[in-house]
Amino acid sequence: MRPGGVEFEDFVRARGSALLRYGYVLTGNAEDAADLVQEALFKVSDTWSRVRNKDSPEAYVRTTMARQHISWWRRRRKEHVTDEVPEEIHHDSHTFGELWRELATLPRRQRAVLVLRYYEDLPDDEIAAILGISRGTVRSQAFRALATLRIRPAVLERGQV
Amino acid sequence: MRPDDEMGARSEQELTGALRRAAERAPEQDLLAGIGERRRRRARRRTQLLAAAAVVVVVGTGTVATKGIFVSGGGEGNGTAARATAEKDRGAVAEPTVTVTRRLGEGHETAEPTITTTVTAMPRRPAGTPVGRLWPEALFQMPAKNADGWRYRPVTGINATQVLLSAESSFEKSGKIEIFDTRTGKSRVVTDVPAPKDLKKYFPQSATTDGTNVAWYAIGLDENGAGVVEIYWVPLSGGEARRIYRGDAAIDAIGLVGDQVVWSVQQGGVSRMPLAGGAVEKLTDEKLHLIHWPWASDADDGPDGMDANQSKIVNLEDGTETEIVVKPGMKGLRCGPTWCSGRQDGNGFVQRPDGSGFRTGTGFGFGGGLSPYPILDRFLEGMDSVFDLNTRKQASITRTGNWIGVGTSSEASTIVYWGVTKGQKPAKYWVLNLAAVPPEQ
Repeated sequence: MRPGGVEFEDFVRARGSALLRYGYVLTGNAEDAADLVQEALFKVSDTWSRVRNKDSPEAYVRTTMARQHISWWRRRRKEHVTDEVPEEIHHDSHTFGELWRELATLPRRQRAVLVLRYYEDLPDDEIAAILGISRGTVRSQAFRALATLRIRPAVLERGQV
Repeated sequence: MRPDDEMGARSEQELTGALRRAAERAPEQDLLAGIGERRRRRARRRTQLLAAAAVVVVVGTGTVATKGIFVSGGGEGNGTAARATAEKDRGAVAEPTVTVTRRLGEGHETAEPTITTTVTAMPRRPAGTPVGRLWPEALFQMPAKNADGWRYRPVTGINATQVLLSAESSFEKSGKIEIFDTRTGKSRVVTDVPAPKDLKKYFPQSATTDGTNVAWYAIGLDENGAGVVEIYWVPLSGGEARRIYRGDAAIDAIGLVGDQVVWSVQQGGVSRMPLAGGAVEKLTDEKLHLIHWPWASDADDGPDGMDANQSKIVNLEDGTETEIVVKPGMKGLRCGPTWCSGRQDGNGFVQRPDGSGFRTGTGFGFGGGLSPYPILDRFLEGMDSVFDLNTRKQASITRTGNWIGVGTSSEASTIVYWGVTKGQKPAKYWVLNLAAVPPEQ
């Protein structure tokens, strides 16, 4: 059986790489990125007929990924250990400079806030909606994360012109 | 000690750059197969049917999305659909998204294809003069599909009026090479792109043109799973593509010069061979990488090299070397014979190889193009802007949709393009061909 049907498959083919890249910056490694994307897509495939009618199925998938990465990850990791190892695991043997390495030291939620702000380029109120936290929390998480990374914020709050 | 510790904090732009570049390394995965496997696993659990014999494991039935082609990359990546929706709600200006392509990995032996990366820049008001006013002769519209209904990906400008194109027979799979001419407003086919039957996971990679011929290289796996690299060329006047090389060179850049094709490899080193076929001749054992003939760089643009600075420019024709002035704290410095760009203290900057002409600017050093070297040794592409380093003018691009693409040639492409209408699949492209900008305009 084809999960989600042909249209879903087309969506995965067309947007899979972009989602993997998003998963990669969220998780910091290739294996977890693939896991996160597949899990989110798996969930979405069940309800594809409803998801596809949304304004943006991709935004829905990305939101699912961000939330899952933060709240669900511990459990998933445990499960993963017992699963069979997928073929051709891509291990990280390279790094992308100091900043990328230091990102790995951040708590998961702080990292997610930074990714949504600086990779996804979203304003704080949308980040708050995606992660299900208050805008104040977004701001404080971002502030702490930026301080850890010694990044000088240009403005303290984004999304307000 | 890190220079940043001395110089103070990093900028947000640097964080965006780090995330963006890291994203380029996300490997391809067969997601559909993975999802299918998950489904089977859950179903098994639910029904407690653990009999292995009853489980049909299908691996590799899905198609991996977005395998890159020499043509991959220029295109219609979509940063985030969420953003597009948000913009609609807020009535905000479309934010910059650029799609770039990079080769993955050190060797080609795993036949890792070029990957396409969508890059989202920080929001920025378009600065500079609208491109249509600054360089009207360089801006035009062209169809987004060929006569077969295949989608075009621009490769680079051949000259002021002609654009080299790849037409994709299926998603990101190059089928034909064509040329669009702004004088006639029409395209013509140069050649069909061959796909050898004896190779698997076959992906044409970067192409190059010298105005007379076009050449490209392709990677694939033979029946034993070993990596194979091929080089093809064909005159721009048209004909059948000729394969002149099949071997194991891990090519990272390719160029044409007269009756020779020249290339460099990922581990460094430049070789050439006649278009008529024949022996491969090593031009240098030094770890150099081709910028565009005759110029080569000692900087490695592989995953580990992005922060490293180039230290010299080598003219492969006459062997002369030019040392580059590198100051403390500089990162990612890349120079053509005339101009350099790089990052320092979280800001982008430009300078000449001798260190003169230094200035910082938003957008410098963070460009999204395939090649980090200045385009035509003169322009820098910076998201929704193009900088003319000679005249210090800045052209701004006001996009219609939420993406902007860059050409996919081996040397820095002269093409920047975006949709005439919104959406991922416009019927027409706006195309900026920097090869059409007059010398000192």
